[in-house]
Amino acid sequence: MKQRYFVIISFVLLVCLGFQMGGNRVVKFNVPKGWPKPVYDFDKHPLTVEGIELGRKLFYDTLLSADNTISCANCHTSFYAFTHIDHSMSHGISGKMGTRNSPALMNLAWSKLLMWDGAVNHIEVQALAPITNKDEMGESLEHVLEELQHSTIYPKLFAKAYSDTAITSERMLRSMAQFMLTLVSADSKYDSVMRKQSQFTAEELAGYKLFQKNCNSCHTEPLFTNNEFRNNGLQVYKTLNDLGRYKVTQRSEDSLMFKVPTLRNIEYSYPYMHDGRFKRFSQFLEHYVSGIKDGPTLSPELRNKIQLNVDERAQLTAFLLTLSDKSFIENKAFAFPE
Amino acid sequence: MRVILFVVLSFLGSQLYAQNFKVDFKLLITDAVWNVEDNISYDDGISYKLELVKFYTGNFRMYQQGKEVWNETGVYHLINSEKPASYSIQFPGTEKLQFDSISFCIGTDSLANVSGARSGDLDPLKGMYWTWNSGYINVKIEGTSPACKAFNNAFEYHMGGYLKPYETIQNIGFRVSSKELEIGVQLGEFMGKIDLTQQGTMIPGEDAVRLSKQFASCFRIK
Repeated sequence: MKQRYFVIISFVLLVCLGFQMGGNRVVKFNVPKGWPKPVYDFDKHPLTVEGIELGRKLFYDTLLSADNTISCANCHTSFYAFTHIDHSMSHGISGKMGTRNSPALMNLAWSKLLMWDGAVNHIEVQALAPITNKDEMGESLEHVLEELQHSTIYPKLFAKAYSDTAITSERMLRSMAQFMLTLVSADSKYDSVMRKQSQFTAEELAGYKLFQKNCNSCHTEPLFTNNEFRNNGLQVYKTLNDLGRYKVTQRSEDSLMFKVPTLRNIEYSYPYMHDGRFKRFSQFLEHYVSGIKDGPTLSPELRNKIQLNVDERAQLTAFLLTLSDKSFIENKAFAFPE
Repeated sequence: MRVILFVVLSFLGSQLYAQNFKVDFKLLITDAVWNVEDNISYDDGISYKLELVKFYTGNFRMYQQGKEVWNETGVYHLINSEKPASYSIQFPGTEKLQFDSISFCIGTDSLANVSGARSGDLDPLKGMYWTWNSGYINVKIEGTSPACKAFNNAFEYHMGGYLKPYETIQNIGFRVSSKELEIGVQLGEFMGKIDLTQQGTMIPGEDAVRLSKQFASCFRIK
């Protein structure tokens, strides 16, 4: 009799263990209170602990580059809000120079289009762009998958995240997307104030009012971007001749349009703009006050001059600093995997 | 007993005549089947060779008297000259289907282009995906010509794009009277309108739209 109970209990335990090993632990994507609905379909492709871990490992792996020196993290470093600090434009394998500033990565679940010109239309295909760009990671998808298949660790990690050891492009891309989707920044002082858990200083509050008057139409709360494309009046540098979204759509109305970046964590993510031309707040504030170049595609909001005296610039700066989220840049779950 | 025998024989008989719908694409230069090694030349001496022809077909639909009776919406088949077996497409589950016309697209629709990482014939590994401007290359035609001014005398036509107003997907339809349908793709006709001195088209835009229409117009049934 006891033996039969033993067999039954052992069987049940083994089944549970089986689920633990082959099964995926689903992670619910938490939408911060008051935020819009994410663009990514989490019902269709739920996040899992194992998928995220695999994605993180890939994000930090230089194997994805032709000379094994460049991982995603090289240009998207966690402590700098996943951008490439101190670099107006990033360099890839063999020191090759790119043509754009590395965007800070956060809150990607709410972005329909990615990259400065919206060239990437889904987070799952984002990784393909830098991996195959000859000046960035310089690899081919075929070769990357081959290397993963021949590695000692990845077959096991893929088996943990999926039902078997098959390393396919779909699985690789989806797990990288999973990790990137977890990079949510919603815990700055600004967020704390919005949740009525703290208060702005007088200077920050004055800056917030200036922000709402002058900046909010494009850098819309709570994401601090409307995820649309605008021409913010930057002078075209002849050497780069970067026409922005026009390159993607071939429509003249998209000339000089660039994606509105988030202002969250702006303290950490210098230099600024699509070509990193501004190193300091004072420089981009000066641009908006006196540097805007008119043109047929200039954002309508910028046709009227923005006026900011010295005090107002200080107030706006104080407000922008409240968008810093230390918990985001220090989150160990986003950092290099142990 | 005779009734049972009749029923069994009728059933077996109907199974013999029931077959799945099958499409065979024939890549042609005028009436001849095209092969990679073929050197195609014009009367004025200009010649070319095609080295690669790849294109997507999909969203197959069958109609009976104007009413849709079957569809394979969202399913795409890559016809690939490097894999001649791909020229034949079987449609399982269509044995009992009766239809008098079909429609399908050449290329991929916008939904396929915005749905992230895909597998099967839509896997980016198939070499039909623009990583730098998310979306599928609907048609690839590559070759060489002594007349071509580009590097290695090589021309490349990569037609794709789904964003308005430069959508390159083409929808075509045919009346059919058989469950085995042969569709000729007149490559020679397509190439006849190509300026062989040029390098080709590699991005979405006006040219890609024009060329996609040109390519679709070369699909004929006997």
